[in-house]
Amino acid sequence: MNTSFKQSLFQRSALAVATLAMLAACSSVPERNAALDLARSRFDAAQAQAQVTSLAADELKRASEALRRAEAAQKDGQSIASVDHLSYLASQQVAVAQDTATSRAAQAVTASAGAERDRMRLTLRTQEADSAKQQLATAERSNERTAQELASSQQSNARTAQDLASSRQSNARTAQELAGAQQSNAAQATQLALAAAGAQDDQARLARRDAQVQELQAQMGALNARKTDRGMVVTLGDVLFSTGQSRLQGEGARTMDKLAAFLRRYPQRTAAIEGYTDSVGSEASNQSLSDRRANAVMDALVGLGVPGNRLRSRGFGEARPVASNDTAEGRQMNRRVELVFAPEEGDALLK
Amino acid sequence: MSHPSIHHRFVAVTTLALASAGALLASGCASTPMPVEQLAVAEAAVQRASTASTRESAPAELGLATTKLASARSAVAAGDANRARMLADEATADALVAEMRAQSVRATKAARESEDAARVLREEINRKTPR
Repeated sequence: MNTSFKQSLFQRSALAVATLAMLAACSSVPERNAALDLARSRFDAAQAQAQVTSLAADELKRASEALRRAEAAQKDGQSIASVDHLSYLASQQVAVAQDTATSRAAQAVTASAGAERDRMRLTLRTQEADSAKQQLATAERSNERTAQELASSQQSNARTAQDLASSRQSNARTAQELAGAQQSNAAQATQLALAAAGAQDDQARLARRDAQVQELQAQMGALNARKTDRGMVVTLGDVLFSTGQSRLQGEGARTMDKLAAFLRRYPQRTAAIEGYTDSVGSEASNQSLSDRRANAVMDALVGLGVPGNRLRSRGFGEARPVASNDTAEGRQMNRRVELVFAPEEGDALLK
Repeated sequence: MSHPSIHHRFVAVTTLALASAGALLASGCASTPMPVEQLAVAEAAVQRASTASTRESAPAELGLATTKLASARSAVAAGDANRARMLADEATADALVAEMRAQSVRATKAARESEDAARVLREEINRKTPR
């Protein structure tokens, strides 16, 4: 350092001076010593500093002692080298005192700064703690609000659940009603189907009956049947029988086959077989003849496979003439056997 | 950062030096006795001051002490006992000065850093305090 370098230079020059002084061999008393003056001025400066006197009192005292030794050496007239040496030691002791004071002051500053830091850290921590407490309080309030909201939300949810439940009940009822309606619909559909089927049956029946009526009409037509108040009447003419006989002739036999087929075709039908004569001959013989001719037709039909219980035969003699007995043509028309088919449902349709 | 008083340090260094002093005494000396003890004390003081910290914080002061110790050794070698004693004593003083200067520099630096840290913390608090 600069000061040290100066000291070093000074020291060397002082040594040279000392050597010269030694050569002079105590002949003269040295007036002043530059090194001693320097040491003294440095000591005075250090002693003027409160920091040094308070913080490095021991070191300053030692510097004072060193300075006193140097002064004593100077006073005693010791060699310049010796005075320089002791002055140098005193100067260095002053430097030690000053550095010691500086160190201790700096240490005090460090310590107080550390204490201040601790204080400030405490303040900071207190602030942080307060802030944390506030945050905690805020958070707790927030939690309370959240809890309230949660509670109300749960109530709302409960209401919603109730609504849902009642809605489900309602739905269930609706579903039941729907099921009932569907069943009812199904039943109606079944009825409709049945009705439709029935209608079809009816139509089929009607169609069948129409067909039967047409067929019957055709058969009746073939038998030369005519519609009367008593029913359909088929007249078997006089020509079919020999005069005064009840036996059927050839043409009459074919007509009988048609009648037997007709009765077999319509097994529910019954027929009344009625015999008539003209007014020729006695009334009793005519009655007998009409009886016999009616019976002959009935026997013939039974013989052709028609059950007898569906047939009745009766003679009416000269009664119910269909024409005048005064002419031969009239009398021929009156000699006859009529088959009267009892009227049945559907016969009304016949023309 | 307490350190033993300088007086104690001198005593310790002196005790430590006595062993090597004995060896030097054995070699003997004709007229003026060689400053064996002072040299040993100086050796110990310079060695003690020769730390990395002192070399960094007070290199000139330490260099002066080292140089002066070498001169003292040279004086011993030259048979100049009086000069050797003075140089040894000065080397001891220089070593102590170097040591104390380094300590002062370090302490000052530490104080500055500590104050800086406190200032930073104070600013931080002031930043946080206003609301």
